[in-house]
Amino acid sequence: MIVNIKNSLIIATRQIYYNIKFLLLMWVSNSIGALVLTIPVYYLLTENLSRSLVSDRLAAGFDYLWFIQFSNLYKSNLEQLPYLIYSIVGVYTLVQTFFLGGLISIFHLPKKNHMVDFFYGGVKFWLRFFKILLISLVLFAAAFIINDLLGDLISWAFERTGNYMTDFILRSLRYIILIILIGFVTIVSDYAKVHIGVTDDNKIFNSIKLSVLFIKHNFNIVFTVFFLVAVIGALGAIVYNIIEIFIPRTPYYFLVLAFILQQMLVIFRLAVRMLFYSTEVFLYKDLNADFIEPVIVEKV
Amino acid sequence: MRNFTFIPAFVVFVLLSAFNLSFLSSFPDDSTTVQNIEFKIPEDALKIEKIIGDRPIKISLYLSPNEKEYSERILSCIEHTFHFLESNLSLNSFDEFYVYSSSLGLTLPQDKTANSVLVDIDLFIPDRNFAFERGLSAKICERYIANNFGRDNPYWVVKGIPYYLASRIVQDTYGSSSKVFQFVRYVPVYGMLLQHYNEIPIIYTVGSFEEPIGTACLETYYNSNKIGSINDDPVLLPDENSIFINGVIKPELMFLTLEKIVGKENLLNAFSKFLIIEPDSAVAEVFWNSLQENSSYDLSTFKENFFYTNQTFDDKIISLKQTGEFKYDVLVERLGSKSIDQDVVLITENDTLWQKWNSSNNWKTFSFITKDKVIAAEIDPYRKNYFDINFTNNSYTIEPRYGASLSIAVRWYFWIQNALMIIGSIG
Repeated sequence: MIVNIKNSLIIATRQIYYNIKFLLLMWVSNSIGALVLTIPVYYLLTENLSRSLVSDRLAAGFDYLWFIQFSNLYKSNLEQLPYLIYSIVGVYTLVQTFFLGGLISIFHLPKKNHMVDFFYGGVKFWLRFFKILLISLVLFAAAFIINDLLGDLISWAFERTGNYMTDFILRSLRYIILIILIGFVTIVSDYAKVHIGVTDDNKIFNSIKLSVLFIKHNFNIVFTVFFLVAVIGALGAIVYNIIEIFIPRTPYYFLVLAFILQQMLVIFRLAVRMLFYSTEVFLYKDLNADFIEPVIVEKV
Repeated sequence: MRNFTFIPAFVVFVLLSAFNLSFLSSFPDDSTTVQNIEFKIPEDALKIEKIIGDRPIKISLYLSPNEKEYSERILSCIEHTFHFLESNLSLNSFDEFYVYSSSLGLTLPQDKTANSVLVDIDLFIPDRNFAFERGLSAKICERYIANNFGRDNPYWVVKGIPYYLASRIVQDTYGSSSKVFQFVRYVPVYGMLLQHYNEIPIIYTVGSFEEPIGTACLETYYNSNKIGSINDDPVLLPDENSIFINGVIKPELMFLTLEKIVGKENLLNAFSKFLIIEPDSAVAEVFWNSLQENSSYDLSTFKENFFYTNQTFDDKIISLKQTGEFKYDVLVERLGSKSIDQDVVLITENDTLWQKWNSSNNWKTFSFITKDKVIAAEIDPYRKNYFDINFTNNSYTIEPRYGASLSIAVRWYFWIQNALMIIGSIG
């Protein structure tokens, strides 16, 4: 097979189509996580609004005064929400790590894509992927700390200078550096997992080293495919936001339409996430494949 | 080896010094008059002059060259502010007024009656958010009032009235502001930020969310302690925050409430009378007497509850029951420590029935007779009392309403789904 960008995207997309049941599984887990975090908010909203005419005003348009009063009245409840979010995100991340093992297994061996194979892959690679997750977290934390320190340095340098434009440009550059760092950690972490999934390697740091070397040797195609998949994901969000503007807030049955649209975007984003891994497995296997010289046997 | 460590340090120093060059162009705080400032204005500063109003005022605006695009907006705000002050208060004004951008690095005279203000101009000023206009207008009003009042205190006069006037001017001129949050410190984005990490938005919603008059003050009021009353001497208050709340925030909210009770014109008339006060008279009593002269509403309880003491306000409809074939009972309660005279209404399909609640009891049952289908009961339907901490419980509907709760919860659900996907994708 000639490995090129078009081929890798087409074949990887087909893989998602063949394994759509796992996309549904990821959507269900995402929905359950979100539901757990929505129920307390819904309870507070119902308690506050269920017998009030403000409910009608909110249907006609947003009432900012209501929002600040609601935030003040339920301050103690709402202050606990971030901790609940962090807890659910923690559990969700562990579940995703499990799913990732399954996904890489089935993308590696497309013919073995039964649910059992998926869960077997999840169990088999979970611990190794978890270790990579921890290393990624340390690197992400370092990226954010560097970002904060750079911010402090810029604040110190420009405090009371009135040189807002340079301050703004440097702050923007700081975020570009942050995005590059996050992208680099993500792509290395992804390929380290793909390497483990494909070769069944037990050595974590060796996998990271090999994935860095792999990315370095095949930078153009690896980065371009990664970037294109990211662009596809961004396009989905742009299309959603354009359509969402035209959906009226009232009457309430438009809420159903908005909800369906939102869930379509969520499923699309999960599919894009699968596409990242699918392309990565494809590229990793094909670019690492041994080239066998054709043997010409002459018939006498 | 020493050279190796010295060179990077030197490079860093040079770079930071280059960024800090504008420090070198700032001046020590030795300015006492506008004439002195004129000497210190950088040569490349942009000077715009305009004569405004029927009683002409010469406005001189000094900006950095890169701030030219905001000159029209600033001049418009200055013009609207003086127009409002001249037509509603008609006190002594200025012949000349100077506005300097703070980016010029100038220091203004300490004299509060001086005819000049410094204005902070951000890199990006959003078109539909008027916080900039409100800030500039408040500074001009402060100078205008100081020029007439001639005293440094009380705070509710020298600070509270200018901030109220600025809010009123901006609301009357531009309408309600659209809420913005800042991205990368400087970039304004229309919408609301719910969760963030430093300058990075995590949970947010983009869109046009109107901030009605008073909401900026209410946000500060809710998030601060409520110690002290408007009339308290700032010296006796525990900290800067309490001085600000009692000197600026509470007075603005009180004036907005008074506006709805006695009318905007009567309130502004009272301002124009009492601001040219005799030097030794009691400021507060002169103000309340001026206001009472123009109003049939008895303000004695109001000033006691809102001005001289610190009270909480929360009126609630407890229940709405049908007690006869055409009779409906509305049970109303005061959850706060005090209240003002309130309207209690019964909203029906075809009409709205009104009753007054002006007793000091903490609860009361109001009976209404109607043949029409009843929808809800409400207390303070015009939201007169800005200090009421919960307007949502001011009404009670016959049928429960779940639409708004469900709509907001669905939005929240979607935000959380995305947050989980983004943060959870590190796995």
